[in-house]
Amino acid sequence: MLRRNISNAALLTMLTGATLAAQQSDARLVGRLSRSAVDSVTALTGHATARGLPIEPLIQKALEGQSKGAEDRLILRAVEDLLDRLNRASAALGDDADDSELVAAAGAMHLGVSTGTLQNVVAAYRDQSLAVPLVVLTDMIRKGVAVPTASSVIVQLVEARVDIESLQRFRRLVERDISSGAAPGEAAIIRARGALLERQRGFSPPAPEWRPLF
Amino acid sequence: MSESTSRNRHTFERAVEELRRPAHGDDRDVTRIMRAVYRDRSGRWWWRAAAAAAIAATIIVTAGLWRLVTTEGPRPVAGHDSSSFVQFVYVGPEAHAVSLVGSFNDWDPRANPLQRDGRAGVWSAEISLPSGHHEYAFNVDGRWVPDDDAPTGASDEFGVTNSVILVQ
Repeated sequence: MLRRNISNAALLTMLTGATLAAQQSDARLVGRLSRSAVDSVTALTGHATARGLPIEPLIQKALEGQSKGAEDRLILRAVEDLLDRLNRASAALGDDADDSELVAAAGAMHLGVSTGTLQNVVAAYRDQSLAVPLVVLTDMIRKGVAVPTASSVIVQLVEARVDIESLQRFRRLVERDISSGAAPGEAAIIRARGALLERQRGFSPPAPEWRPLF
Repeated sequence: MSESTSRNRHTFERAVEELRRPAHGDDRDVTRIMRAVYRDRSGRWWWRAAAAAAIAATIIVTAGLWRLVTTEGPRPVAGHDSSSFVQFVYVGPEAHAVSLVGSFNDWDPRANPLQRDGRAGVWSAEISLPSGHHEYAFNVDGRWVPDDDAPTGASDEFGVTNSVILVQ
């Protein structure tokens, strides 16, 4: 019995080793992370590939951790968590979501945004970049707006078809109001009301000439 | 009298002169007269062709140089097919070294140092970013500092929040 368990363990180890060997480690990880951490991250990127998820955000998360001096244990947990959120984000956004949208959605989920909110954003904003409203949503939460308030505001704005430039403007105004001392939730609600009124009047601020969205 | 009017008048007089010559009653007369009318224009056609060729060459050279410039900068993330230049600014009169570190340069603090302009302590860098969602932060004398002008990202696993830039 014991002999069988040992041989099973040996077989499992060999198979795991063979799998890892088959998956080529990203060259950027080698030399910056320990050998075992590289192997673990490579295994996680293998899972991502198998599920059709992007691997670049996972690689970058590992490199970010190394650059910021985090221990391997913390880096691996961060990469693992990101993989889990990318997986859930993919389920919520659907197959059409691009990498930027998945990463933005994974970020929003990290702060407690629900799958239902993501699905509402998708339903209302299917023909536009989902990354923009999701980045605005994340930023609002980071600035102190409660998750339910921020989620409700964003869903209302995208359902009203407020365009990308107006969303950017909305974010800057909320940020400015909060910096000036306004309560985050109130700032978000008041500025959202303004954005919705502008949308009703058909007011559209001029599109920026530069290509970065923020 | 303008140069154009003078040239037209000259062409007209030459055409009239050809018309006054005795006709042979065949196609050569028509050819002779029309050649007199279009002599100046044909000269201008060659001049215009040369000018057009020069303009086209200028456009091609400029486009080539622009492509050369826009493909510089950090290595684009695989799968992205367009990029654009972005300026990053950090104001820190007391700082000694500032660099831009993020997912576009593999979080390498040596990849994109900011240059200090003047004594006011305005640090800046212009780099080419591929399209997509990028997270980054400034590294100021070894400290991680988010960009106040950009949206804040969700990440905080390593104790410091990042900034976010979206490039179309």
